[in-house]
Amino acid sequence: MTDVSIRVIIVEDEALFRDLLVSSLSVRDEIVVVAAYQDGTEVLANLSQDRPQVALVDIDLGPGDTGVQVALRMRQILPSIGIVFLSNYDEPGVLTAINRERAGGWAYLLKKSVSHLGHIVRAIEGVHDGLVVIDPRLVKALDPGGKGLVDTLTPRQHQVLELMAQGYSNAAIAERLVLQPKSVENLISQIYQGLGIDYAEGAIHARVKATLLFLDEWGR
Amino acid sequence: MKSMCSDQLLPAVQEAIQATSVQICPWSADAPASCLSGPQMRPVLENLCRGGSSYYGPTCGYFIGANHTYAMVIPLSVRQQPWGALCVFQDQPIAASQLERAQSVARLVEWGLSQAPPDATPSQSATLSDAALLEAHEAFCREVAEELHGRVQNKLLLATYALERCLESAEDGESDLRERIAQVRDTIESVREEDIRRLGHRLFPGLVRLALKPALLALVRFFSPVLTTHLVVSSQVARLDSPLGNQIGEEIRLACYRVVEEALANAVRHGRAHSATVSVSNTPGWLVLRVEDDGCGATASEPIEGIGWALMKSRVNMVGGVLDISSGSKPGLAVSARFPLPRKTSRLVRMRAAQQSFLHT
Repeated sequence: MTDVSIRVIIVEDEALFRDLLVSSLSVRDEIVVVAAYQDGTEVLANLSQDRPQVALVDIDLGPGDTGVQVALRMRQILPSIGIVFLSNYDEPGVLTAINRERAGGWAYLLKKSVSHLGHIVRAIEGVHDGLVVIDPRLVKALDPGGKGLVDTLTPRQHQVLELMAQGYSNAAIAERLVLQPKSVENLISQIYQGLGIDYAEGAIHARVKATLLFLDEWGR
Repeated sequence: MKSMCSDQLLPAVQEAIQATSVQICPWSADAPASCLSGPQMRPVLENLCRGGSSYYGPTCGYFIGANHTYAMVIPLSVRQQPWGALCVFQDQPIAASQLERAQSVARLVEWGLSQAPPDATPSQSATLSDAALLEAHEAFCREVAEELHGRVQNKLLLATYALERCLESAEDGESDLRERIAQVRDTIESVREEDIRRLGHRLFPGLVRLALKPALLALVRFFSPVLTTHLVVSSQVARLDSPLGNQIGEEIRLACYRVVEEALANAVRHGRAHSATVSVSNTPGWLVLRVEDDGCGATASEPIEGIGWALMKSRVNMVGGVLDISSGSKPGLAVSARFPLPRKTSRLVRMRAAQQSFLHT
């Protein structure tokens, strides 16, 4: 644990899976798991004491409130908390139930991606920075809408948008696509222009808007 | 109110099993001897009915009765207590498929009996209203679906993780072993992602617990390989359909979802439709649903009836709504349904409408 470690809580009703998450994340210095719970009631009661910056929440918590409802209640108490939803299924439609005015700081990950620690750490860091992060497998599975703005992007721009939606930073995109950082910045500017997003609203805000538009147009 | 009594249940059971003689016998010391089909059956039934709560296991079997060459006896348990047995008698050997069907029927009968008050007599216990049947059936499906989506899914997921660890630790030379482990892992993944998911969704759409719109979005996606569906949810309904303090009751959301599910399935199955539109809006006091498709609509050979629609009508009526199916001048079928919104909601809608109108003047 370092001074800048992200304080994380876990809400998962299945004990074995909860333990797996705790033990997997405990090896990372940039993250500290401060508590793990099996249902929403316990979480909310301890929220002010735990002071989490990010919560990993299973969407399906069994009887009672769903994970999304628990997350929304947490947001009412701690408006800046980042939420990583964990789900067995590719149904990112749940994100449509979330108020778009405060759309940043959400991630949707498949539980099977949890075996790749890199995915989960990237989602935690992404929501902590206020981004929207979508599971890599879901991003790959999105279908072209055919008539939307996203369809007007070039293949290279689309490749960059896919990585942005997965929570990759500019530097990580440059490394992955073997490009100069400046080239990535240019490509991102072109993407915003193509999607009609005003970059002046701030880098995070623009990134969130681009990801949500991508999800809206190709996620049907 | 229609009711289902044992007189109506028996022909249904008989039809399902296609056997020559079917009995559902409450077990008691003074059970009619005819139900037991001869004195040899009595100790068999007694043994089976008292043998425990499980009636799917090895206790199911084939027995030679006195008046028939073959008999199949499936014990029935209600609230973990032996209740009686479902007996099928016939002169031909009983096929494995018959046993399977009889087990399904026995489960249905057992479930029906379990819905009666605990102190009901056997004859009372077989009398159930449509509403109670539907409600209990939905509750049962939900319970099973939650178990499938939650615990069962997670355990299979953990099993695949364990297999991945085995793959990592297997030596490079053990290629046969690695291949077999990978095959097992892939099979488990396929069962988890495809079979369990499909079954779970058919039983109960979990997203309905959250809100109507995401549940309908998932449904539309499910049909997308065979039907292009356009979903339109009005902004007023979207506001009412908030995951926190949802103004549309869960029973209304579920009924609405089931109507859309049936309408889209019907459009594909019978209407040969290529596209459909689902719209959800509201009028004061009502949630209004409309599903239109571009299929062939109702015809003389395939009229608008059948058990699916009858069930749907019951489901909508049960929550105080009204269902209407029409095949008008336009091609295709139009299914409309209205569901009552709580009084508080309609006031809220009126207030918001007034607020909007004020802001725009």
